[in-house]
Amino acid sequence: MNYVQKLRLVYLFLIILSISVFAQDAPIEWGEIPKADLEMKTFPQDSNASAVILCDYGESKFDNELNLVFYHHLRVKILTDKGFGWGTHSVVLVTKDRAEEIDDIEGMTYTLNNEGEIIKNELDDDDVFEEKVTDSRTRYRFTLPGLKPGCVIEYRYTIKTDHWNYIRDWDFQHSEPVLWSEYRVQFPKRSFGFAFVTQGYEHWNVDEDLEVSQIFNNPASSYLGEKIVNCCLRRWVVKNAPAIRDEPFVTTTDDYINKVEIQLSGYSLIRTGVRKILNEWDVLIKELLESDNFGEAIEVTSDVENLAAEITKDLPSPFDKMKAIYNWVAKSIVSTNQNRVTADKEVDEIIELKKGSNAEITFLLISLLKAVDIQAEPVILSTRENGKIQDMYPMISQFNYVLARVVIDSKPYFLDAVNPLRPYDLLPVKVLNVKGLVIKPASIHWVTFISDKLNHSKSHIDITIKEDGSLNGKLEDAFSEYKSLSIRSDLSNKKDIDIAKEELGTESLGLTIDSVSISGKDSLNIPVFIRAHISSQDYVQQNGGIIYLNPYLIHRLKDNPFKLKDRKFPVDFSYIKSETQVINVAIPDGYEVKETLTDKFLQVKNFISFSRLVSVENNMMTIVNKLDIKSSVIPEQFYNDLRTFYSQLVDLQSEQIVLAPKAVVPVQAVVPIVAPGEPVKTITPREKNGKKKK
Amino acid sequence: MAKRKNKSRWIVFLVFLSPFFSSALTAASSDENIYDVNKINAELRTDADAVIRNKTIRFEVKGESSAIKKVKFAVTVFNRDGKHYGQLYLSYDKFSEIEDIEGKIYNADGNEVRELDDDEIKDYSAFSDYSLYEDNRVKATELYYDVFPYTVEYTYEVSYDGYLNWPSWYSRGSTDPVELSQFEVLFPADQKLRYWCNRDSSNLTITNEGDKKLYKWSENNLSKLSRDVYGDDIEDFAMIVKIAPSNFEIAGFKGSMLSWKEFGSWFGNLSKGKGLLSDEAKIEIKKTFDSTDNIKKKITKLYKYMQSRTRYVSVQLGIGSWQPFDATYVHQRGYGDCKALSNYMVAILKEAGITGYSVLINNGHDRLPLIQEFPSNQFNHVIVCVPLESDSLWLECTSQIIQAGTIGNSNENRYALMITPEGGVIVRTPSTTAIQNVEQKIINVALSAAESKIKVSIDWTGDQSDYVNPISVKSIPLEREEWVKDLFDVPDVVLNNYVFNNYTDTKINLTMELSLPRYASLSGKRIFFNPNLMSRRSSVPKDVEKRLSPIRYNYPYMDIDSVVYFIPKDYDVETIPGSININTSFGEFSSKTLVDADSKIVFVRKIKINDYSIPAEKYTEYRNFFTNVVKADRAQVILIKRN
Repeated sequence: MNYVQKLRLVYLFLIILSISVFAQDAPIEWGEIPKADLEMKTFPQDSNASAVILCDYGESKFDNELNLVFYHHLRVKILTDKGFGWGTHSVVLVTKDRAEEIDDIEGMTYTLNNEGEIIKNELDDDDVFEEKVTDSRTRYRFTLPGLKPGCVIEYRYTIKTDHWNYIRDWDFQHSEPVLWSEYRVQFPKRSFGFAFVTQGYEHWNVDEDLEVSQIFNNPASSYLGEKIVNCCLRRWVVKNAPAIRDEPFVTTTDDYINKVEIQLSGYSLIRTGVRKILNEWDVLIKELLESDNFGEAIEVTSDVENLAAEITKDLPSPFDKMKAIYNWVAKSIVSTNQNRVTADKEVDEIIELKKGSNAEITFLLISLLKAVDIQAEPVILSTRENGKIQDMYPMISQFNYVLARVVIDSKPYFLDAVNPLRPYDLLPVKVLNVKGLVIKPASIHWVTFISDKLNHSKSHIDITIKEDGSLNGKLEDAFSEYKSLSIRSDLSNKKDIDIAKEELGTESLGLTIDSVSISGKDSLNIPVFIRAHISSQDYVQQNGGIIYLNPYLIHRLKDNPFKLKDRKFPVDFSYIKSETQVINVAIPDGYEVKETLTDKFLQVKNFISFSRLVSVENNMMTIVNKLDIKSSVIPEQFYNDLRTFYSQLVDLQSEQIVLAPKAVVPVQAVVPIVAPGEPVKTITPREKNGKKKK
Repeated sequence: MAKRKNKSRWIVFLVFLSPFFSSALTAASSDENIYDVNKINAELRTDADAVIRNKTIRFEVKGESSAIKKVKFAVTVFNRDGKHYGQLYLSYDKFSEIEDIEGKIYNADGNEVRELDDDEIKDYSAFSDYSLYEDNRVKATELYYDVFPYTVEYTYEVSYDGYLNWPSWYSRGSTDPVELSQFEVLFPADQKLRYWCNRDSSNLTITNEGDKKLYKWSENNLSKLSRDVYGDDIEDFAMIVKIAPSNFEIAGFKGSMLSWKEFGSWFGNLSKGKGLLSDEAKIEIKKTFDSTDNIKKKITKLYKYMQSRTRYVSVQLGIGSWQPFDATYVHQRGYGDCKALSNYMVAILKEAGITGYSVLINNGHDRLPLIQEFPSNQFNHVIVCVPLESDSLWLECTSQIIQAGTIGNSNENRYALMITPEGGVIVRTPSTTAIQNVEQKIINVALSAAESKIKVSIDWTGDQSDYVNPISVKSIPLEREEWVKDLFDVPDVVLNNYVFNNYTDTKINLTMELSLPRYASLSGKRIFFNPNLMSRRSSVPKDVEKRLSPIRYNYPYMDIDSVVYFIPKDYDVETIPGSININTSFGEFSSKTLVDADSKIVFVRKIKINDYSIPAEKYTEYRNFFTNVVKADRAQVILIKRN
């Protein structure tokens, strides 16, 4: 199957050929379970399935009170007890001021008894639990009775709301295969407008836009101005959709499933007149700027002015001021880890409370910058785990995060001051490679956040071997920006020696750290740097004078991070990086190199490469290794190559050097030969890989 | 919070920018300044991220079902790592209510900087993932300041309407130093408070306070502990006091904890009348066994029947945390939690004329043994025991896959409370020995630098099969294959075939054939490989100054690996690892590699841990033991190509 991503954007007011049809029947009827579904024992199309979603049907439609009524009917075949999870369901509603109400929850389990009769087991109303999650939200939760492997379950309910903007989105794929998933949205055409965005890799079996009639009674009819109302019916069906299971190195599987997202764009009723909800981007920007909990929340109050003046006192350049303000905010205000694009509290309160949501912290940051005349504006975005933004429609609900964009001498900087351990110029991974919208008057400006860091890790190891097989080493290890950040985040209270043991992994190799110093733990602007002296009596294996040594003492790749045979989605490394490791091995006097490592070069297109250069000079073997991840995203069609690349990497780091006493030849003061011992051009260990084809 | 006046905000603003100035400004307004940082003993302050200034729990017993707990918690925070003390997280349920949460921040001089506002307190439902429903909720808030050091102080009250558990006191909850930690219990003077302390010499004082007696335990000036103690249990470095009611009432159910017998009766009473089954159920149950079956066979069949009809679903509502659903309910819905399923099982057994009892137990890693001399609620789980003539048969009713008589290592080797019609009786669950819990691997390797072909047969018995059992019967193929591949600490496992044979759930075999393209490493004319193919240990126990608590194992065990390598004909053995043999009081380890004729190398490794725990004073020996294991597990065989 071709998995090239197809993003299909559907225009709301795009009217194809409008024909009037009668509403179609729902794909399944309650209680009518085909015997074959009950008799089904396995699902040959996917041996990993523990349940099969036979039909997932939803519709959103207006009633006579002009409530939007969402009806959901799910039927699942449970194959094994691992699939029992599908028997438990929960729905979260906004219940403040009865914004949403759930009704008619029904559930039934069907099993076949030994005589082949269908046994029904009904969900008891008392077994539906109502949990007040917060003041405004309630979760309804139930589990179906009598689950057994082989049973079929179904449940249904309706959710009614007069908040039309709460219209439900629809996911057509889940962690188990789906035989039929269908969603319909029907609304009076003249009176309501909705924007639809669809995405997904799977084929849409139905994607239609029909015109139907719906009869409305009072009071709806009085709002709509007529009884028989022309309605727009949107209908989507996906059949036989495969299960979506988690894979490592993806943003979120939500980016890849078939789904429909919907937003109310506007309405026009007899008594209300025309109300536009969804506008163009410029209107959304204007509204945000005028909103109390966004634009107006970025306020240069006298407190902010005083504070900014104090923080930037004696700092002449705007750049230094920006850094000082960033550092002050990151260190002083604790993030409460709430990600949303609007603020509940004003900047003055945040200054006092010393805590705030991501938006509140960003707004304070911007206010402080503005107070010292630095151009700064908010940028809204959707974090990686929240999923990609569809920029066709200005749906504010897609966004969940705000950063600050600062411009000094026409150079833009993006700041996110929620983590005191992260320097101003390092963005959190969760925003990398995503798109953001700059919120400033009279412009629609999209930006993409890319880490401009090289993320270069460097290590240098000097190894000295004695004739008795003991090893001494000196190492310097400088970590990349993101790696430094993660080390710092995990530092609290640890002794240097323990940090070094963890980062270098010395203990399991029998290496002892004799002394260690670590710099850059507290200063954010330099990398974490470990300097250590190590020694070992038994790292080197020895026998009859022969010395065997794996020179990769630290950061040895022991396993392939890509274990799955196949992959559906691109590999997303988040950011580019490179690692250099220089290893010097001093060969003991009187010894010669029997087996050496060889030069290597591996690559997968222009995405990733590894090189190793080995030289021996004056009893010193030097091994220079360099790994370059040059592209943060590697398309799925190169997955196999990437997997092989990493296997080879594991291999070549498991190779050993063999040293042996020289044949009895008088030791000369100068050793002129470059490659001692065996001819260097022997079979390289990995030639076998070239032939292998799996 | 209502907006403050501009002036006061301005003061606050100055306070955090310039502590020196602010102290001059506000010092006069405060009289006591108890949280002045300078009042902390210099020794406690050294190197501290935070100092617990005052942790006071005052518990006042009002009656058989009502009590009030007042808590004060004040911490001086010295740096970022101590900031987390600003977070307050209080859970409550139907029987308790949290009132009057107050929070304050003081600066270094001990002057109040600000007060917590009610709208900063969040209230939300909170329950464990495994539950369908619980009535547990949480109140949470956080207080921070940005000029170090500063002090956070919280006070709050919890009022209890119905109780079973009374609060416990730990003199310290972390390695951070403590200035003062105290536990006060205000108790009717005419009764005797039941308490238990983990230390022999507790510094209890009893004084009169009105018509009540005040029991008081306290510790002060506890210095910072090394991080290393994180390997230890808090029980070993904190003083603990537990208290328990004698008579109590919860949701209208009165009971007594004066003896295990009485506490057992109370629990037994909760399930009175809950064991009834419908006629239809009774007929079904009678059909599951033959009258000629012996009792063990009957139990096995009935247990299987229960397993096939049910699954574990937890619903904890009010007294429902203690009272089981009735048997009819479980029968109808096919689910229940541990006590409901146990109650159902007992009812099923009864229908077949067999007597079984529910048993209250503390399930999990055996942390603290049951305090037998202190009858109180020390349990979190219910299983079933069927006393038989010679032996007892134990049933863990929340699992659909284990067999009658196995209860898993999280239930074994401990005291528990059996609920009989005459009340509670302390019983001991079965324990196992190392030779019952074995993992034995027999491996054949046709070694090649290009691709080694391997045949493996693994047998797991006893507790070692506990982890394998769910994988072998419940997982989806994708997970199962992943699990099997993860048995190898080698990249690129090409699995040709594998099959699990579950002879019983405590004797499982896995047989497989695979190839490893990257097992042996070729360098020039030499081949390197680690003869220990599947059981490499790489972690050395932490190097700690002084271990306080015993090293606890889930169960004693023994692992045996025998691997035979057929090496390529054109290679000779250049080096093999030396043999090692360690015998200690707590366990043994041996590893040897032998060169056999006909290009054969034989590797045999055995490790055995004798008991459930190893005493703390043996820690150094224990660490050396495993350091040697790690070293031996790393050694390689080197082959050299014949010229």
